Amino acid sequence: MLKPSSQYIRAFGSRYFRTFYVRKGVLMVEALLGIVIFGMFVTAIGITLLYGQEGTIASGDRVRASYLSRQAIAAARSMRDISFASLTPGKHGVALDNAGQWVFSGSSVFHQGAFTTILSITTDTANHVFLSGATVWKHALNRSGSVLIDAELYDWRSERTVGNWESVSLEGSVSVSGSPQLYHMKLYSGSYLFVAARSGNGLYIFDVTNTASPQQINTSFSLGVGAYKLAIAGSKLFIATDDSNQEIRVYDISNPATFSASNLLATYNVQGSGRARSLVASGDRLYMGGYVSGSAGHDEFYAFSVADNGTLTVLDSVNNDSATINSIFLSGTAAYLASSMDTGELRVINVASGTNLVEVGGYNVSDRTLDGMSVSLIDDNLLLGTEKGSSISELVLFDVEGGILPSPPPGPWYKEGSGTVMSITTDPRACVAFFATDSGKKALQIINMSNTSSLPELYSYNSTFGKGRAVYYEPYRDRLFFVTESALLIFAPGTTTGTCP
Amino acid sequence: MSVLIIGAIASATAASLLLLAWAAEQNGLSVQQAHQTQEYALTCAERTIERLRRDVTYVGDEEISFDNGSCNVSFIDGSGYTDRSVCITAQSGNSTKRIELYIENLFPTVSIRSWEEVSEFSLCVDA
Repeated sequence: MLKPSSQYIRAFGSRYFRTFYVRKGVLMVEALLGIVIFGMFVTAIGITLLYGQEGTIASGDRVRASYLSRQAIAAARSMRDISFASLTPGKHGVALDNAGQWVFSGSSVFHQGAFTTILSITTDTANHVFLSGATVWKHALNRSGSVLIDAELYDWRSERTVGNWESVSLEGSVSVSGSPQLYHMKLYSGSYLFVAARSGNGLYIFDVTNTASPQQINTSFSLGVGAYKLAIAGSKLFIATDDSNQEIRVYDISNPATFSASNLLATYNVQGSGRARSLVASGDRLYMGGYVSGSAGHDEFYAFSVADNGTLTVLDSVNNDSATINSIFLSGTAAYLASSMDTGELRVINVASGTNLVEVGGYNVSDRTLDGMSVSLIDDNLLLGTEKGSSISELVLFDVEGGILPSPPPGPWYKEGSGTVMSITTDPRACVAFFATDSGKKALQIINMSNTSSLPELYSYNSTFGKGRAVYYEPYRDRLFFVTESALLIFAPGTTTGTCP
Repeated sequence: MSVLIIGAIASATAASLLLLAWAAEQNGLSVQQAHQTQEYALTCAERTIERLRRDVTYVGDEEISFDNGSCNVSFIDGSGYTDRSVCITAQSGNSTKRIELYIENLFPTVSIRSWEEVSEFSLCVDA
């Protein structure tokens, strides 16, 4: 309790009023307190302002650094477009030369504003490099940072040259014992060749990583039935079989080295018995050509959707009681069919809508009533192979420029085959056509398809391993795979001449 | 009363400044992520083209992971070495980029009819 003394000043000193005692120096304390609080307040505001400004500037630094890192990667991409080999591994700076081309410049580049950018390149394979563009800066104690952007470049722009298919050599081969009646093939993942057979194991697998030494693998696997044709989409293998209840079998071939019956994903029972003949796959669609049947509901061309688990569901089908579909070639939304129809050895179906297949039309090779057996299309060049006949040439070349169906003239042009033309393939320049014939003599024929005056023969091979059955040209390695009734043969061209023969 | 009002104004101002600073920093990070996402999309496109050249049976439908993001290659339309449609979605952080390309030919050189960054795919119906 305050006691009145000389230190205190009585104010409003009435017993009816409360007595207030005011100390000397109280105003000073309050003033100091006020100054401190005000100072804290100003400091807080100041820090907020500074932080806000700093954050904005730091953001700007990061944006600029991101563009610089990206620029370094773009420079590498520009260099790759000229020559992939110029992307040497290591740490590089990039700069524009006098010609305005991006080139490496030292091990880093210093940009205005004190940003340093380093492009790091790491080689993975001859066709693949890892890139990282790193930009660092240190402008002040609290203004430093780095931005790292990753990318990868591939050598997809290089031209895959085609050799001289007039000068051909047999690079590798492997024969299959037991008269397997090999029939059709499909290449998977660039390294494995699946071959369908009419007898024996029904399906054979070859490791063709080394084309000079192909190896048969999984020799114990047996399909249990004969097979006609194959299709592959992703890691799913579709087989058209003789099985009356499982005309189409779907297998998982993601690991061909350990492929077995347990990799069976699904089967499909086509109307009728054992009618599946030809297959082609595209994305999550499968198209099947069947053996002709006049029974109701037994259609000859089917479109399926393929589920992730391999299950097939019919989307639509086309009926033609006059035609077995021996081969299908898919080009965009057009399915070209080699058929047995006497007035339509070539037929075309629009498959743009899987649920509404539309037959566009066909072409009647009027000098014969023999079955169309094989078909292939490159650019505007459509090749149709038919059964062997007297007085006719089994290989027919059409020009379909400006449309889907052939509408000669010009063409068609003809080339004699030594037997039924079982399979056709071409090089990507539409210069060379390869076809397999149902004959030992000239079982394989290679022609210059760009020379329509005579379609001159460039090379032929007389087989000692049975008749010709299937051909497949792999453009990436410029190799021709050829299957006879009992062997796989791989052919290589001579050194490229740079032009079509 | 006036002190309260001034205090409220000052507090609001301070809060706004802090939020603006934070937003600016987020903006910088977003730009960086956008650049990274774009590079992932380009990487996946190149990888897909190279893969198609080596293996014509490749159908996409694949997720590819990177250190700071990923990309998805949708089902590749078409078959063979011509007329292939590729759609790619790349992500890094909160950024997403989509590119679609139409490949006319894979050999002997790759011929591309279109290569676009899009907000929605038109070439790949199932993407």
